[in-house]
Amino acid sequence: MSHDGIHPEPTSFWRKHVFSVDHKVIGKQFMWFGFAWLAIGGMMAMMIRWQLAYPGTPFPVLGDFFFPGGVVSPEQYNTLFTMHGTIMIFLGLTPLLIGAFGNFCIPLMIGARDMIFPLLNCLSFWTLMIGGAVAFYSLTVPLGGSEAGWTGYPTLSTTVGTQGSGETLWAIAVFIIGVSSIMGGINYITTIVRLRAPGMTWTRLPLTVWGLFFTSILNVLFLPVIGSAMILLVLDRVFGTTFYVPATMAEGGAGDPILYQHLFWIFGHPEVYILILPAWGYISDFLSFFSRKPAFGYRITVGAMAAVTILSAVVYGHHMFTTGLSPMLGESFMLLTMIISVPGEILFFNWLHTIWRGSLRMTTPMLFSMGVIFVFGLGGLTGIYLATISTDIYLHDTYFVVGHFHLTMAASALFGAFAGVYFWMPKMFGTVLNEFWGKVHFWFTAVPLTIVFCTMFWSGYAGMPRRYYDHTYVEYLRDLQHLNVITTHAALLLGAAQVVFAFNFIKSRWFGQKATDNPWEVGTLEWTTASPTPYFNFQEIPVVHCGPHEFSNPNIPGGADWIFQTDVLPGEPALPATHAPAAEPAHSA
Amino acid sequence: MHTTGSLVLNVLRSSRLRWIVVGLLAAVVLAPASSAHASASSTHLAAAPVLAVALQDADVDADQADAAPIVKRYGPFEPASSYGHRFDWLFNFITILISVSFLLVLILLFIPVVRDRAKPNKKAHFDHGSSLADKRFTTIVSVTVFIVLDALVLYFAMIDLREGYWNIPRGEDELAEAYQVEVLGQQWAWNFRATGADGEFGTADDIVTINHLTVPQNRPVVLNLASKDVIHSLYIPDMRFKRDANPGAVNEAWFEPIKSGDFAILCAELCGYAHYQMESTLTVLPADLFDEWEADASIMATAGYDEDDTEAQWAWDFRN
Repeated sequence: MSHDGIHPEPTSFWRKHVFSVDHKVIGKQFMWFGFAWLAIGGMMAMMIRWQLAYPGTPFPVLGDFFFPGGVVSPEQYNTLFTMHGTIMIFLGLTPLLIGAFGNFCIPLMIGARDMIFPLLNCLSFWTLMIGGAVAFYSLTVPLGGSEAGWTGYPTLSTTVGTQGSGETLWAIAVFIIGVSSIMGGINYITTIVRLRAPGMTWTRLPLTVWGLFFTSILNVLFLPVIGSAMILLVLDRVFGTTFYVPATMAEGGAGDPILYQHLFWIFGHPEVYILILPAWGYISDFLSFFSRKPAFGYRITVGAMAAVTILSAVVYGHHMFTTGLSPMLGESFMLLTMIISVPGEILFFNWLHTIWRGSLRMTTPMLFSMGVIFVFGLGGLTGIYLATISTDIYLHDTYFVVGHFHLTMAASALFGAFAGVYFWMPKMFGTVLNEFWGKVHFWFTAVPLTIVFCTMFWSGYAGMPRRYYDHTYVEYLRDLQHLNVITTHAALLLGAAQVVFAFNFIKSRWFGQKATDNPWEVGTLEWTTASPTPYFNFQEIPVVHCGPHEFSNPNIPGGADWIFQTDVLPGEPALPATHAPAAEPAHSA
Repeated sequence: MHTTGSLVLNVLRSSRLRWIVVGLLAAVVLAPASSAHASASSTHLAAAPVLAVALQDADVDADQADAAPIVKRYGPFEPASSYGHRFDWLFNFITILISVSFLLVLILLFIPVVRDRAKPNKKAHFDHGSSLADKRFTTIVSVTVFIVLDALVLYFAMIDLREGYWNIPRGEDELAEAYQVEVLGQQWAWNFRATGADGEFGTADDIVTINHLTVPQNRPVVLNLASKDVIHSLYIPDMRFKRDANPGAVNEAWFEPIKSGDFAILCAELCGYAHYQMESTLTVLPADLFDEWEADASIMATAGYDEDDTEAQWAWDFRN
């Protein structure tokens, strides 16, 4: 194991806080980056919702800064929902769920001192920063930002449909962000394979690490696909090639816009699992930690996540049921999509079994983990309507789809991220987030969020298409406007609840109660070190003797209901002598 | 803690008040759902209108007093096409299945929350769930759920697709009986082209219209869709019909109207900033009225035909 060549602690400001190669600093950088973009993307959602409930009225307070007369124009509206999707997925949730906690937790949880490629790690963050800067700049160019939706379907996203450099910059930004994710993915996979501490066998890994491991595999395999799709799009827009432009529209055109849809969704469907797999990993651990019970069916959970990872690559066609896909392909994709629900359902089974007959500590991370079960249950089950072609034909591209995918990949991933923030805050910053305001934050997030996306099911079922600037313009949809108003009111409440979180986070970060080394009383390796974590993570590389979830094991001495992974369980065989180093583990209980 | 803070704190601490909060959440989320189940189980054919009517709320907005009163709607109108009821039936069937499943999940989630709270001197049940019996149980549960939830829906969907959506009239006899329409989407309008009285495309009496399609009742309407510029999607909610119109390729689809009247046509695929303005009208006429209309329209089309006006002859070159 290559722990010897670890880099020395930097002393200069730039190397310590800006271009740091320390995984903990990079994790925090990803976290702040993700929070900032979540705030921007969330504000865009508020503007979208305001326009939908009160079309043509000025957006309160901030409207005058962004829109002429304070009112969103149709072009700006298209830019808003395009960038809302792009920002939330690529610049908000991915950095927070994978960048922040992946970087911070993987080395700590597997007992390493840093990522295996620290410089690549630093490069990954700063590449993302460039991608974010390009995405932000695309909003300011003449003719406005991207207007073709986050899916960017040609020929709308070629110069046929959108002029100006906004769309080109959007494609370049997505490409750069993809490069950053690939760097991170390679780093995560290699670190997990190579740098596990002695005794940290694959079946003793916390499920968090498993989730991040599978996510990284998907990142490395499928981000190149969207990268290639974006290169072809840029070539079409800038250099006059016709990869996506058919002969009917351009002299010598020989392309096909459907090619892009295939490329996009080959990436796009795994992407939703890229976002949800880490969240699944976190909550699989948290539910066990706060039920004081072992994670039920550890191997089955890992197997189910592996199955989802593999199957996610072969279900993408369900996004294209109305494009003119061959019926045979359509039926195959329908069957495969139904099959992918099985591992998902096994995960539910294991989560519910984990908390069953436990000793539940209803902390904020636990509430958010249970929130994931609730919102992912709603979102996953409504997916059956959309996997079934004969119901999807009517529901496709309506608000039903918007409600479904927000619950599955947005709300679940966000809840998973919040659970992670509340849980790892002591280790990251050495302070505890206020539990009371955490619970207020949870309830004022969960209830409006459920209302927001459930009313979308109703409006979508009634036939309201998505991406409409003004539903009241359409006579057929005027009698559905009351649903839009309910959604918007709940969405504004949801947005306001995040202010509670922001204040709680800032206050606790700098003025909060100091955390003990192990406030949650769990046994994974990150809790064996001090809070906040010292530069080298571990005085000595720990030696692992048991799994991460040995809660309430009757063999634990001293009446405690938990044990560190570095402790030896009485009755369990200790590590073979060849693996055990001479030094004592850092922790002694 | 501040005053508001302590108020909320008291609410959260008092278990009764906490359950009121949970109850309110449940009421808001589940109240409309339960009426959906009721209507779903009542009858297969007319479930959607039952849902719509049952929830109709005759509130008239004061500001809209001069316009026609808006009756709030919570679901689609009754299906107007021959395969429309298939969607409604399967939708309601899935609704029942997933409502039961979700209710089970909620029960299994809330029982431990109430019963298994941490108490002093209470230890959790120690179980890794890794025994052979646990694995067997998991397998049985997942296979059962797959059969009940997925395989059953899959089976009904395949029937619906083969007998409904994908049963496109293709043979010569079938096509002769059907009413054929070519649809060309553009930013931001729908162009429709019908054969006219002579039953053939590309002749002087082709009926070419914009944003208005007229079709006969009780005859299959076969549509060939393409687009001039960007991707559009022809969406007729009342017919439970949707099909993309792509540039550079022709898509085939069909529906058979079983009701006469005017219906809305929308665009479902983002096609630029005026995407929302592509509302068009579908008029379904009974056979006798339709024949009259078609004869008149063909005469008018022939009178207005201009061979040099290539703009009116759409480019279908890519078709073959």
